[in-house]
Amino acid sequence: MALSSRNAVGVLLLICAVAVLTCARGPAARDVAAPVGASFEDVPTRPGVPGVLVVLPSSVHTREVWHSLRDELQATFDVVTRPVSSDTTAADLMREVHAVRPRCVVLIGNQAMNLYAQYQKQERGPYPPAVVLMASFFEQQRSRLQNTTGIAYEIPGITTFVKLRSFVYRPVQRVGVIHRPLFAGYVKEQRGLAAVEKVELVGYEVGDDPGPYQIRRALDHLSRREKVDAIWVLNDNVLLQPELIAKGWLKMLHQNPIPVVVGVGSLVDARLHFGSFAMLPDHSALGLQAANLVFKLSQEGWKAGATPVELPLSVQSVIDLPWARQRLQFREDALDRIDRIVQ
Amino acid sequence: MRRSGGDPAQRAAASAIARRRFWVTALLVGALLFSALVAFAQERPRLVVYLHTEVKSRALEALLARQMPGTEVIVCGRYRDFTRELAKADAAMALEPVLQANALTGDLKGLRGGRDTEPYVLLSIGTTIDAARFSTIVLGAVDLLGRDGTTQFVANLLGLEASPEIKFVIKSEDLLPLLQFQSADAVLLPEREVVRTKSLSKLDLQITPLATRVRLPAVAFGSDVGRRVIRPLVLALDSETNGKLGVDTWR
Repeated sequence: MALSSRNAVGVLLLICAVAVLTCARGPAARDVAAPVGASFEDVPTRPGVPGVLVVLPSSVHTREVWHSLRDELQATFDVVTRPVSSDTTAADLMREVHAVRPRCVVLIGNQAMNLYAQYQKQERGPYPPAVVLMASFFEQQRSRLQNTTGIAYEIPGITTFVKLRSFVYRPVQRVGVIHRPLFAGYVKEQRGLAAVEKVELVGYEVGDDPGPYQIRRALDHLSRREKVDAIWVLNDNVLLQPELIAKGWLKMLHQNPIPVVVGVGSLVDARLHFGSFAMLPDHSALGLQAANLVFKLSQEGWKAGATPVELPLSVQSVIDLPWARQRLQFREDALDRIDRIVQ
Repeated sequence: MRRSGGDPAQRAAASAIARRRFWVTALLVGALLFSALVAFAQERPRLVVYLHTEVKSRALEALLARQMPGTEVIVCGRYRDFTRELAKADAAMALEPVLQANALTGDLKGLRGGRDTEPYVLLSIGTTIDAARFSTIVLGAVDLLGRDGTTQFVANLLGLEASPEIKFVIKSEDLLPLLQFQSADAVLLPEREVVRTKSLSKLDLQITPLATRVRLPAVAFGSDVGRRVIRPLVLALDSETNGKLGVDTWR
C-alpha cells in the first residue's frame, strides 16, 4: 500500500511538473489562434471610427481568417463581429446592419454570403459595400449580390501547378482535369491562367451525374491518350463521392501513378493514396488579403461592385510523403517548403 | 507474519506517525522536484525568430531546435506574432530594421559575402521599372513591419517620400502570384531570392536593382541567460542552417 502510494505521488508530481512546463513554455503558449468554441472578442468601439461588420460561422478556419483580418483592420476600423449559425435569418442580419451601420461588411463563408443576398432581396438599397471570403465559386455567384466584391476561395490551377513543379523532378507541362458541364467555364478560365506559366490544362468533360466507369474512362483518356503529367481534382462534391473515389478514381490512379493534386486536405491520406498533394487556402494570409481589399475600397470610394474579384495569393501544401517518394520522383529538398506531411 | 511486541494502540500510533512522515517526505521531495523543474524551465531561454525564408516556419523551427539544444525556439511567420512573442523572449533574431523598429539592437550581426547588408530588387514581367515610375506602380511586398512600418520601409528603399500602392503578402512565396495574376506591376524582394523565384516561373521576369541596401538578420538579447546560452549557439550554427537564414556567418 505504502509503495503504491509513493508511486501514485511520484506520477502525480511528474504530471504536475510536465503540465507546468508545457503551460509555461510549450507550443500552447504561442498558439495565436483562439481555440474552437472561444468567443470572437471585439475591442470596444470608438466614437467617430468607421466600423467593419464581420459576419461568419465559427470554425477553426474562419477564426484564422478573422484573427488576421482583425489584426490588420483594428487600427483604422472598429471591427464588429457577428457569428452566424443555422438559426440565423436574413432579418437578423438586417438588424445587425441597421444597428452597426458599418462602412463595409465582410461576409465569411457560404451561409453569410447567402444571408446577405437574402437581405438585399428583402430591403431596398443602398447596401453597405461587402467583401466575400471563403464562399464556394464566388465569382460565379457574384451576380446575386449588389455592391459586393471578394476573394475566390478555390486555389487557382496556376498556383497549384507552379508549386507542384517545384516538388517533383518529373516535368509538369500538361495537366488533366475532369469536370462536369457546370464547371466548363471555370476550367476555361483556369486554362487561360495556366498558359501564363506555360502549363497546358487538358479538360475532360463527364456527365452531370457520372458513374465510376465514366471517371475511369476519363482518367484513362487523360493519362494514356493525352499523356498528361499530373491530374488536378476540382472541389466538386459530385465527383468526390465515396463510391466514385473507390470504384472510379482509385482504380485507375493506383494502376498508373501520376501526381494528383486535390483541394481538400483529408483526401491526402497515406492509406488511401488518392491525392498525392493538396493545395489549400492559407487562411491567415487570406485574412491579410481581405484587409488589403477593405483598405483598397476605402481609398477608392467603397465601390465594391466595380472592384474585381481577387484570386487567393497564398496556399498551404500537404503531401502524401510515402507515395510521392516511391512513385512520383519527389524532390527531397522540397520537404522544407511543405506545410503538412502525411505519412 | 506479524511483528511481536506492543499493544494495538501503540502500533496504530506508530503507523500513524510513519504515515505522516511519509507524506511530509513526499511533499518535500515533490516541492523540490517541482522547484527544480520550474527552475529548469526558466533557465531554458527562448529565442524568437522572424525571418522570411523559403523554408516553412515548422521546418526552420525544427532545424534551429536541433542545432540549439537547451533553447526554446519559436519561429513566427507574421510581424504581429513576432511583436507579441517579444515580451517573453530572451533573444530575438530578425532583419536588423525589424529589431530597430522594436527598439532592439542587434548584438550579433549576420554577414554574407563579408557584408552586413544585402541588395533588394524589383521583379517585373517583360520590362524593368524606370525609377521615374516608382511612385505610380502597384508594388507587391512582404508585410515585414506591419502596414505602416512596411509602407515606410518600402518608401525608403525606393528613395521616395511616400510609398506607392502596396499589395501586402505574408510570405515571400506569395509574391510570384501577384505577378502571375497581374495584381501588381512589380514585387520587392532581396536579390538573393531572385534565382529561386525565376526558377519557379516561366514568366519573363526582369530585375530592377535598387540603390539602398538592407541590413541582414541580427540577434538581439533581452536577458543575461539569453546572451550566455544563445549567443554561443548562434555562433556555432552550421553553414546549411546559416544559408537558410540568409547569412554566411555571425559576428
